[in-house]
Amino acid sequence: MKKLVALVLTLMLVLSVFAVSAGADAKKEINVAYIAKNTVDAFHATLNSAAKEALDGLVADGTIAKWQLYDGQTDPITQVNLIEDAINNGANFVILLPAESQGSAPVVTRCHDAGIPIIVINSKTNNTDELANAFVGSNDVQAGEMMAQFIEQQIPDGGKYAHMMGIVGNSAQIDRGQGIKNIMEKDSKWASVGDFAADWSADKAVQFATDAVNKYGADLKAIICDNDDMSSAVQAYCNSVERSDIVCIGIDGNKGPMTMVKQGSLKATILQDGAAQVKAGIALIPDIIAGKTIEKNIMIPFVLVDSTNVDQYLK
Amino acid sequence: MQQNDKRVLGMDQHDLSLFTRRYGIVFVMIAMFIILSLSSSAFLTVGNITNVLSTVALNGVLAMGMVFVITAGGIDLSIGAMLALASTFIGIILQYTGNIALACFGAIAICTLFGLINGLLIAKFNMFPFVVTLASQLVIRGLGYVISGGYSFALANPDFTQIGLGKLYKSIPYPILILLGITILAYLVLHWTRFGRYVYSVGGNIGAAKASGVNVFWTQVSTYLISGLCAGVAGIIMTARINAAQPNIGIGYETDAIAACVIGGTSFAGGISTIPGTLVGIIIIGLIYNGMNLVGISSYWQTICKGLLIIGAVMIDTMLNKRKK
Amino acid sequence: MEGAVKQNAGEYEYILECKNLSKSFGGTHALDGVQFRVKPGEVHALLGENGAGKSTLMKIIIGLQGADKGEIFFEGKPYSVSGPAEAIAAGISMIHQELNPEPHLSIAESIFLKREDVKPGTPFLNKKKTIERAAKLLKEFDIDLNPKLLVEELTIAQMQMMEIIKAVSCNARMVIMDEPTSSLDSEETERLFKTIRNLKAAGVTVIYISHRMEEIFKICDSYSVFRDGRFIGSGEVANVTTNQLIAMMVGREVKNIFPKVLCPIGEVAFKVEGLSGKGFKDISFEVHRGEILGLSGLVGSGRSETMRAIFGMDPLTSGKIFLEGKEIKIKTPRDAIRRGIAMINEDRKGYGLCLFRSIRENISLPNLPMRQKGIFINQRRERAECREYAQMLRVKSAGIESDAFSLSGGNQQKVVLSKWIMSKPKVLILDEPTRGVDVGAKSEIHSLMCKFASEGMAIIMVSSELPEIMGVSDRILIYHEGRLNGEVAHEEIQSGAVGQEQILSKEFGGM
Repeated sequence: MKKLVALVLTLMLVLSVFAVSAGADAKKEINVAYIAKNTVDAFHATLNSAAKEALDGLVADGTIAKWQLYDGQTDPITQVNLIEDAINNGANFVILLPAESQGSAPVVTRCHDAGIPIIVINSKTNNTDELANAFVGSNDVQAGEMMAQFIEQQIPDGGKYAHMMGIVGNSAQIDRGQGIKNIMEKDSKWASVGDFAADWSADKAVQFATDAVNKYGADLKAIICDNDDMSSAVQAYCNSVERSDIVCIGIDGNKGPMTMVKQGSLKATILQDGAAQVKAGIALIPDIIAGKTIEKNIMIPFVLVDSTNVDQYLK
Repeated sequence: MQQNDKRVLGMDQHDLSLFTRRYGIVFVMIAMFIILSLSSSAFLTVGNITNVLSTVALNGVLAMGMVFVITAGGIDLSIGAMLALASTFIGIILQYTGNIALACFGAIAICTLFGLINGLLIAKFNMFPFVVTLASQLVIRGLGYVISGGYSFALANPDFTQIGLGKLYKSIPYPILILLGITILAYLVLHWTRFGRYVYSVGGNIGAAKASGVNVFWTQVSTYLISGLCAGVAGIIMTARINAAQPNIGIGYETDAIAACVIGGTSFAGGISTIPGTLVGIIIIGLIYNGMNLVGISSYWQTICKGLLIIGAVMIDTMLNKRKK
Repeated sequence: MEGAVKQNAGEYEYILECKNLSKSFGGTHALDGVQFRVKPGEVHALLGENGAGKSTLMKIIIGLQGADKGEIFFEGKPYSVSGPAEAIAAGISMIHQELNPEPHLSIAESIFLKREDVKPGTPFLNKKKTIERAAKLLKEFDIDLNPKLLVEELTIAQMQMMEIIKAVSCNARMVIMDEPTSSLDSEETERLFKTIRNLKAAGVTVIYISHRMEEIFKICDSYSVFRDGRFIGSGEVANVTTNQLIAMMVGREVKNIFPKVLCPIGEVAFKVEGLSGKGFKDISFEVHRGEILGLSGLVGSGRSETMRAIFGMDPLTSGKIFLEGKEIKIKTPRDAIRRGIAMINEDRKGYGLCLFRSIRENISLPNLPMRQKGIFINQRRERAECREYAQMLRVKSAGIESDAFSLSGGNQQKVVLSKWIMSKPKVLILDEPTRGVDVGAKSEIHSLMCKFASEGMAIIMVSSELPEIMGVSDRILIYHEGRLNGEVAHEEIQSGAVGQEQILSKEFGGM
């Protein structure tokens, strides 16, 4: 019995060792691997479909031969595994949306060592500046500052504010929090009642908000959230308990919050133009193939969207 | 009852039927190999197969520990959190000492310690394993956050990544060797030592085991200890591959380990798992992901596939066992 | 024979001596200053109703529990163990009543659990050697089984034989057998007795716990009787009668163990024609109202299989069933229950009771659809009705809300009975209703059966205990290898025209 098992396993190994290796393409056809952060977040879903449009376009005009999406499932280990899958599948160009700034770094290293061009989009890994061909993103610190400035404008007399955070350790969370601090700590009219670990989640943010509203009452004037899934949910909650005076604001520009801005139930949101990020990144592909020098760091600015300009951006 | 003396491939009729029940899953794996080779020219290459095995090494090591726990009738939901804790330990030890061996030792030690705690709580106070490990999962993960301050950071000693990304003689990745080593060890312990026999007996019928004089307490505790140890080793592989200490990682990894055990023939009633079966189970899961990535099927379908496979495996298992009666 | 040790007679008078043992749980005395003495090399019967303290005493002896007070001496030396492993090492093995098999181990692995062979100098098992040793043992006991078979593939009878082999192979000098024949047929019981006699010849002492009087008189040398946690008396089996033993056990004169109250037998209530299925072929019989029809036969002869098929638990390949003259089709137990056919199974822990639910919930479970209209349960009515039935059947408990788990075997069986009686069935099928039940409860169950019969129920009873069948049935059908092989009327038994030997021979296939 054991012998049969051993036989089968050996057969497997033999098969794999003597297998025919996939022939590399004769001419230098560009095969793009698009390693997504995930396919389930609203923000990334928008980003991915913009990427699809752009990449299909490149296939249509012959710049690249084909492209494939690999789902990182918000897990750096998965992304590290996927780059191998991609390379085995013949990819020779990589677009990466890192899941983690530290954990996804080996993907960039791998591409660099293998001589495969890689463009990093939306958030940086710790080695993007040295090893990647280019980075297209937005400055999260700036976004945090924009939110803080908006709050200062809206409520000149100041008061107390709560901060709903993204998952602690995410680079976006770190930078946005930094931006908020840069402005709010200098402003003596404002006092923070806490940074709450809402993990990018609307449900958790509403729970923390409920507690804060109950505890601080009329003193609580604003709730700044690291993303607008949270800010829109929190604003909806405040409105429902007759506290629409509390100004909630977040970042991303997802459809839900944008709609609320249009309707007037949310004052504003900071649009992260993910689609623009990814399009700009993909637009670099022909230049890199042709060997031209390119802009290594492209920052797509955030846009403050309120009732005056929401129609422009709401699709 | 007549004894059928016909022998097939060195096994008499009884062995043969037992073999098909326990290892029928191998044929599923071979079938998948064949299908995937036909679907994608990139599949059956040295590079790709090596990649699949490297990828599953992490989950495979976890699964090997899980087999012991499930066979003895328990379950360990805390191994995902242990991965994260191991990772932070490695990060910190490397930051302060730069010593790779010490970092590895630290990771394994802390996970084994928590495994011991799990085992003691479950065996001594007769608490439900599901509940205990669900709770310890939170404690362990929380500890990782506390130690790291919630932040991930790159490893101070870049040589450490060799464990995860390096290759022996430039051809066999270390993770595969680690997986192989752990599998062989697990196989020897579970199938060829007395302790392994006791693990089966405790899982099959705890009353009978006790009545036969088996030390049920230490058998149970040991299975959780082994699970913790494997989580520590897996943590080393993982941290090396991503070259970073991440406290927020590893969520849900226990599911894949359990899935591998189930697909490999472990019964949730405890008692009829096999190490080779689990190895095949983890390879099958790896093939699903790898194969689907190669062919370009969306990850949503990959998850559905995995779920269906587990249901399928359990159904076949039940059917085969029902026919026996 | 492997495992048997020649006894040196005369070293001590008693191989096992318990002095003044006491053990209480909470406020109840399970054992109250008992003494228990067994002579070396004898087969010693331990008798007592359920709850008399027999199992507590045994648990203390094999180390699963500790005594509160008292001393034990084994082979003349003070004896105290903290677990079964030590007891086994000291030379005491036990075969439990509720079989404890290891479902996923093979026969060889199970027998030698904790005593495996290892390859010298390594921690690794020598599986081949263990299988060889097991094969040798099985051969010595004349059992034709592959030692590599998994325990879960064995029948109950085979599992029990395996337990006995295991105990014997542990070099036991004293073997405790708790209801060892409860799942054995006559043939296997004879084999067990032969084994016991061999053990005796080899000098091994046997403590034999059983409710079956004929067995005790057949195989045991001496006896001890316990009642309510106290030692009542002991002596030689040769010098005592059944009635005296029963009197000691129940503390009152029990005139007739199997009180047969004859009641008028009415028209045919239930009839089967040509039933065939897995394990039985071409079975036809009738049962009248007020009649108790006994089905006797060796274990595996097809009686339970027939009943399960009638009740809808197993499929029928051919045959017809008639209830009160009309043909009916039964596909599932629900069909059977709805028609008024109830069945009590031999495996009360498996099919009969939800042990972790209260007595009330157990009794009312199958009756809910019929007793309660609408979605909500009328709790008050449920409680009243269940109490009525529990009282009628004299279930001894701390109230109907206590868990079924806490009851003794006999009382559990009564709960199962009340559960089905409540639905007032037309036909009641009883499959080994008094298995593992003490004498007092047994006789109560028999009286109840006669009472139900007198109320017009048709009763079919499957039993492997000949005296029970002969005492309670109006008619007996004898099964042999899946077919009917004879019928005996009550008068023939009463008159002595047909005795146990005749029935037994028909069970074996004789004419």
